[in-house]
Amino acid sequence: MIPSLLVQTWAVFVKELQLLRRDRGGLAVLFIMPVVLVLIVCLVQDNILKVSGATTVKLLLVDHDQGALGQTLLHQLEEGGSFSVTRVENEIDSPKAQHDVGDGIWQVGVYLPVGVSEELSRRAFAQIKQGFSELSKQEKLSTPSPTLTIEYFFDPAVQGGLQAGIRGLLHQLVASEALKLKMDAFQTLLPAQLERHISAELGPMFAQVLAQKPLKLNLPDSNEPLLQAVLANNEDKFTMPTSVQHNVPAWTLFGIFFIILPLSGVLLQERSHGVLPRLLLAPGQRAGLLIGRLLAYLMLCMMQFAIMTAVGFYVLPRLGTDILQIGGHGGALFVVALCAGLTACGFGLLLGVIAQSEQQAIMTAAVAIVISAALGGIMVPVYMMPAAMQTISVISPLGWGLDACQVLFLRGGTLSDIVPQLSTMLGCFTICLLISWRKLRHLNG
Amino acid sequence: MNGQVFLRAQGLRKNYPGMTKPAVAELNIDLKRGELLGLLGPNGAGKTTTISMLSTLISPDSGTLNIANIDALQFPQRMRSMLGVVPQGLALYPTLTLEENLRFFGRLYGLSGSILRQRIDECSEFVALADMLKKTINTFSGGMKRRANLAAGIVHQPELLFLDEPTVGIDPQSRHQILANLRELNQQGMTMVYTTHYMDEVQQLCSRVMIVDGGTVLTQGGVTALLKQHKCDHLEELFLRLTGKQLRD
Repeated sequence: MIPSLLVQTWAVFVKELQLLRRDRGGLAVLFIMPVVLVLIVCLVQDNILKVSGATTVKLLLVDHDQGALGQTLLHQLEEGGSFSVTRVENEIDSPKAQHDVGDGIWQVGVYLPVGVSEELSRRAFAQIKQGFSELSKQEKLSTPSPTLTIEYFFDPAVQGGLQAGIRGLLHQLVASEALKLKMDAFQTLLPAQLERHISAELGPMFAQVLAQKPLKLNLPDSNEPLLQAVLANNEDKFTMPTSVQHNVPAWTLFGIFFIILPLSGVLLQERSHGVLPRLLLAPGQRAGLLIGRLLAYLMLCMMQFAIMTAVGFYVLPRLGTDILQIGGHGGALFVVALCAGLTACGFGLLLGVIAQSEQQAIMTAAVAIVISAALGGIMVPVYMMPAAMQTISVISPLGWGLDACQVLFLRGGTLSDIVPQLSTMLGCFTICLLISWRKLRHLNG
Repeated sequence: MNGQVFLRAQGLRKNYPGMTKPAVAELNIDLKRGELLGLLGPNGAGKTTTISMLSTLISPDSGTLNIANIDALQFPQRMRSMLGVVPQGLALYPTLTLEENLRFFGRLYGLSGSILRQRIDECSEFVALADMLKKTINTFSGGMKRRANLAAGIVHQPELLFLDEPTVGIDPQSRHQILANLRELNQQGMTMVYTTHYMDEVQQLCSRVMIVDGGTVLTQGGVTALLKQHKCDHLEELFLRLTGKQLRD
């Protein structure tokens, strides 16, 4: 009796699952290791991203002033959504605030001393008034007073780029507030100054006429900018890379590629224990032996994918990170995982027929996966690597998968946008399969 | 049906890449249905290559092979279900139970349902391992593993069974059990090709013997006839006379 392809495929599929069920070490590597890795790395990197500004910056506003400046700063900082502002009044002083920020409780601190709003307003008024005085040569210049200051301080862990950005923002906010106050003063002082000027130059009669019809200034709100720099990227399409968005797909791919270990191990076991000749002598098509095996291991890969996605959805947010956002890319992501699984299975088959011993296969696979992961941007994103390393990274199969995930997650791509990455993975799988098949035939004469 | 030529190999030759001499050169065999042929030879004589070619595992460089009137080289799939192999290695999955192993190999040969269940029970009982069905192979002793290996080779009831040193490295009890099993299978009509280094096994078991060395057949025939022809008292004396006493490592 010659069994059908389906029967053979089923027999091999069941057998492979039975073998895997008994391989507790292998299952731990496939399922527990990537989950533990993604939890640890996400939590660690979440903090790194916080100090590099990829997430909301925690800012302490110590407002001893309790005036308009504090309200303006609070409003402006919270408006952009980049800052999570905690405002305190007299509870803590500047040294205590600096200490707390230095300890990393907050990433930035801003201290507004008592009376700064009032003094700022007074000085703005005085400056404009002084300007008119110089213009009219009637009022004396007042003695210049020391520059009014507010203090800001950083957590030392906050990286330079983020520090520069925050520094620039605070300077801009302060300058904007000062300008606004000057404009208010100008608006208030201009009519009287004009009246004085006309009276002096044209006589009191003209001044009386002007007094009957006083000049009304309706300067536009200084908050309405004449020129604005706007972000050209579509916010709906592009997403900021968070630790979860990077690490969940990255470590899922890492875990998927560890399928190489049990797959090559079973093949080597079959070769060393003499099972292979018995398999090859079975009637029917040999494709069943291959398809059943691939289906079993692919199923495991997809289970890894499902578990890791669930970790991103349900576990990581409970530990304080962002939630994994798949958007509408669930189907495309599934295809990426499937292709990555096929690529990993291809390598597993290849290693299983090329390696001389299980020990050799384990060592080769582990080293190759870790190097491929490093090159492919699993540990450090490729765009953060030096140019030479970025060039080399294109050889990493894990990099192909991760690149596809990033196109979907960060660049708002669709399935058609990741066809090159999917094709590369499928091409690699096909090449591995053909070499393995050829080598397998050679092994048996 | 006994007496008909079941397997006919003519001019089989196999040369492995990089080797100066062929592993098997001009092998001619006629094997009758129900016959038990003992294939003897020192290490490297070409026994395993011969079995691999006869079982269609590897293709010869030249020659013809007919099994049950089918050109086995051209249509290997047509007759594989009637072949069984008991390889030299364990040829089982050590972490699976005996039942799981037998079920897997049975399924590969198209057995299913109650027939497969029946064959698993029969085979495990036949090799005296019925109470070990639920145990994993790696818990078995060497002798039990060899008997399990035999059970996996016959689960699909092959008509022609190739055995490559099936009793190597086991205790006399298990060896005795396996030989008894093989004798019984042969009496039931199963044709066998049996390689071993144990001359007494061949003398006990085989109706015909073939001694090979250097890829060529040195002599073949009935054990008694060969001993008489070469004026030897026992098979080992004949074997050493034909193959020499130099070591084959």
